[in-house]
Amino acid sequence: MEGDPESRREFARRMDYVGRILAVRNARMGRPLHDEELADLTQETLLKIWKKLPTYAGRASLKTWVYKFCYLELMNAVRRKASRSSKELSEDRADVPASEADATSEEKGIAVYLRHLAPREADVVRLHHVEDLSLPEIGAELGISVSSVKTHYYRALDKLRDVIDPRARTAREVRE
Amino acid sequence: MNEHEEKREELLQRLLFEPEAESADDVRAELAADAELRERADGLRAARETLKAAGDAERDAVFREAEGLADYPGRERAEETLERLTQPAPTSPRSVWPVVIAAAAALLVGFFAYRVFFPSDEPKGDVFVGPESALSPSGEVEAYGTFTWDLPLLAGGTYEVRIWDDAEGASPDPWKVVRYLEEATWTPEPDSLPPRIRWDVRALDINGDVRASASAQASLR
Repeated sequence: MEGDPESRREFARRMDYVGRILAVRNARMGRPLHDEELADLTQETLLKIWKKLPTYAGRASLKTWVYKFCYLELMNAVRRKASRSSKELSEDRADVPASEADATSEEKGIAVYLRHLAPREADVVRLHHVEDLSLPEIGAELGISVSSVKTHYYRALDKLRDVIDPRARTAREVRE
Repeated sequence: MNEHEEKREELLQRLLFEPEAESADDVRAELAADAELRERADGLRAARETLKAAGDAERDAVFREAEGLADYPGRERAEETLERLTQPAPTSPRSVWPVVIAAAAALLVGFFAYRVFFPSDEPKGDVFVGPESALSPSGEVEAYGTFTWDLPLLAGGTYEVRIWDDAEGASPDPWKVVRYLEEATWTPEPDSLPPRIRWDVRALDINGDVRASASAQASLR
């Protein structure tokens, strides 16, 4: 990027997503952070992304990588705020690590599937497929081992087989 | 769950989490011999693909909403930061380096010679830490007023002021943290700070690393 004005402009344009994504996610969570806190978080996240940029491996698009970064930073900020002041945010929101965020907006899309799952299974699926976290990252986020993450994910998919393809259930029931 | 079912579960998990399992001879043989296993494996793959598509769609919905935002909190500051971060680093012509290196070497030799003949009796300290005397407020004051300090700031850097309640038994966490100050001054809201405070100021570089710091204690009379 160095020395190439066009690349620098493009990078700056893409990083403009950081503040936007944080604002949208915060709004979807019911605005746990107020504007000043969100402005500070945007600044901190930008600097962290800048420092971490050399670790970006290109596995996902830069936009998706930034999205994941924003999610983790936002959740950390919300948890920090919750631990500082139980008045501003209820404890149960702070304790639930993954799917609390967009719970109110989950009336369609992936929510159609998540409602068939146990809470922890839904957390794992959401973190993997929406937040684009790897299995070890999910383990770190939820405070469980990678093998537990795999077990929850496997169980989730096994349950959803029947939801996604009801014919499979019918065929199995006939066999049984 | 009997042994046969356990083996099936294990094999299905391998198929799910180990990309190379699909082409392993034992797995292929099991799949070829067991129609129900094939059906379950296909079902798991279909579920994963469906969830992936749903997850992508949800992320895209956030991106679309984000793109449609006219403004967001801290936008001006974020744009300034991005401008600073993406500025090209100043470069020096190659031919200057020998001169710079020679000058630095001469300075170093001169410095060591000076120290040998005129040893310093000043206590050694961290060169990055600013003098406490340059901090205000410090000691007993009528009102805290404007906070000022004298710390060097690198290009693109910012100051961060942290204030703790210095009363006995008070929280070890900062009472207040003020970030991204570009001037060596900050004025709190009147009566917004505890009667006894401990505070520090840190000069951060463009990457957020601390390059200098100083601290003081102050209390209201």
